[in-house]
Amino acid sequence: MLELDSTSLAVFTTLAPAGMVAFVVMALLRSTVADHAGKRRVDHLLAIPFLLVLSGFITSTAHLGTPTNALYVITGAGRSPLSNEVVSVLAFLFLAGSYWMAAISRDLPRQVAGAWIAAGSVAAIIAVGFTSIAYSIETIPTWNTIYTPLALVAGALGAGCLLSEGIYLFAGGLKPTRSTVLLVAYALSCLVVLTAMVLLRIELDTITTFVAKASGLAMGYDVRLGFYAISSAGALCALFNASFREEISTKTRLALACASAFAALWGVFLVRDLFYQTYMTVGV
Amino acid sequence: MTQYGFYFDSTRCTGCKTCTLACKDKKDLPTNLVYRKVFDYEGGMWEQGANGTYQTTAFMYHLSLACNHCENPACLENCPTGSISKDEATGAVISGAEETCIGCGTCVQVCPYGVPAVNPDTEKSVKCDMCIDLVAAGKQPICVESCPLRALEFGPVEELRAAHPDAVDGIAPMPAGTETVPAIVIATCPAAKMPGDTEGFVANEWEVAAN
Repeated sequence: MLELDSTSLAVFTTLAPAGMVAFVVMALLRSTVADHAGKRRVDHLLAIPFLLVLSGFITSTAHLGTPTNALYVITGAGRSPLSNEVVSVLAFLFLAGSYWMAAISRDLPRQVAGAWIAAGSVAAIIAVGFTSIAYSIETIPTWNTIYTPLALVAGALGAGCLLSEGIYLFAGGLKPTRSTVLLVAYALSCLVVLTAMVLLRIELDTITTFVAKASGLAMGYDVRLGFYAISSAGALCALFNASFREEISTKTRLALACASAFAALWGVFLVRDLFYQTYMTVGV
Repeated sequence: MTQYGFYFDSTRCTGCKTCTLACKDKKDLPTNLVYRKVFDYEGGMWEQGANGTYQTTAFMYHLSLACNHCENPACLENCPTGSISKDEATGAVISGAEETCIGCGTCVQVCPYGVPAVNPDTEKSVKCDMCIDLVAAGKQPICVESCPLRALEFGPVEELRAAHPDAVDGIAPMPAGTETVPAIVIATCPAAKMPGDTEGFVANEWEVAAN
């Protein structure tokens, strides 16, 4: 049961943080778009990160035995790390979803749109923060390390930057310098994730109870990290070509952007799934 | 609030599991669920000495463990819906409020004693509630009442500690209680190993893990 549960949570912690970071990056880039039509195009495309977060959130309910009671989580903000995480993600979904619906259906005044999208971005940052610390549980030493929030935030940051760059290709693309910044941010984030996971691997060797050695928990740890590196490199190459090779057709460009997004998210999922496999309490 | 708890005498326990079955019967639990588990902890070996004789370091003992109704319960602190509460009168940790529990299994994951479970029939969190109905009626929890060796006692944990000054708050395979502060008092048998011991192992791991 834990395995099935953790898969849905791995999907959630892959899609939701990446989608929320993508929303923030797209909102920042939107603020630099001068023309009204350009802003409208970006507003339409904000549906993609919103839907990513929403689909991740819906997937996460698969691990609930009684999802009909899920509303009680909303009433419990501040009660536990998990309720903070859920409430903050819901706040983001409400702000981002309502903004998107309002923005595509009418012309919002500049200040209203700015304030609304800024509120959504702040909610996104808070939600990513709460998600990253939701696993810092004292009785689970294999999760209660600095590498847990580090890997989650870095993974989300990287995937979010990559998704933003890919999504902007649908709106005509970004200036080359900005594309370069996003791709470099993705590459650096991947390096941070890899470093964090390698350091976690080393730390797992030191965590032992009479029941188990933490190092034996995750099957194929190194192989999975290798696959993460390969899929991340593939995502980077694909998006680099989509962003900078002018001779390729628009269709190919967009196909490469989609393939890149899939590869990046798949890589993050592998790391998240690996993380859930390292579950071990201090006790029996 | 007076914190109530269990006292377990490992010098008396024979591992008969009457406590497990009495609890299972009273709570009418399904076949794949128990609230009290008896761990068989074993280790050591026989070694041949230079003179050809054999010396043994073998040991084994039992540990009957239900919810320890911790003073800082990890299940309560991490429950996202507030379905787990601490009873004001006894300090009992009560889980799985019918109308609020979402069956997410967070309590199962975070408990270092492997106590809560999600009932596969109701999809809600369930665990030992120290037979709070019996306690309210002035009686003892059913596991305590049923133990044929009188290896279990129940009462205010400070009184139990005072009555058994040599007792400890954990033996292997329990973890050290630093994180959650369990309300349990344990009399150690000569074979008992302290938390963190690496000499022994749980010999009935499948049995205790399956429920």
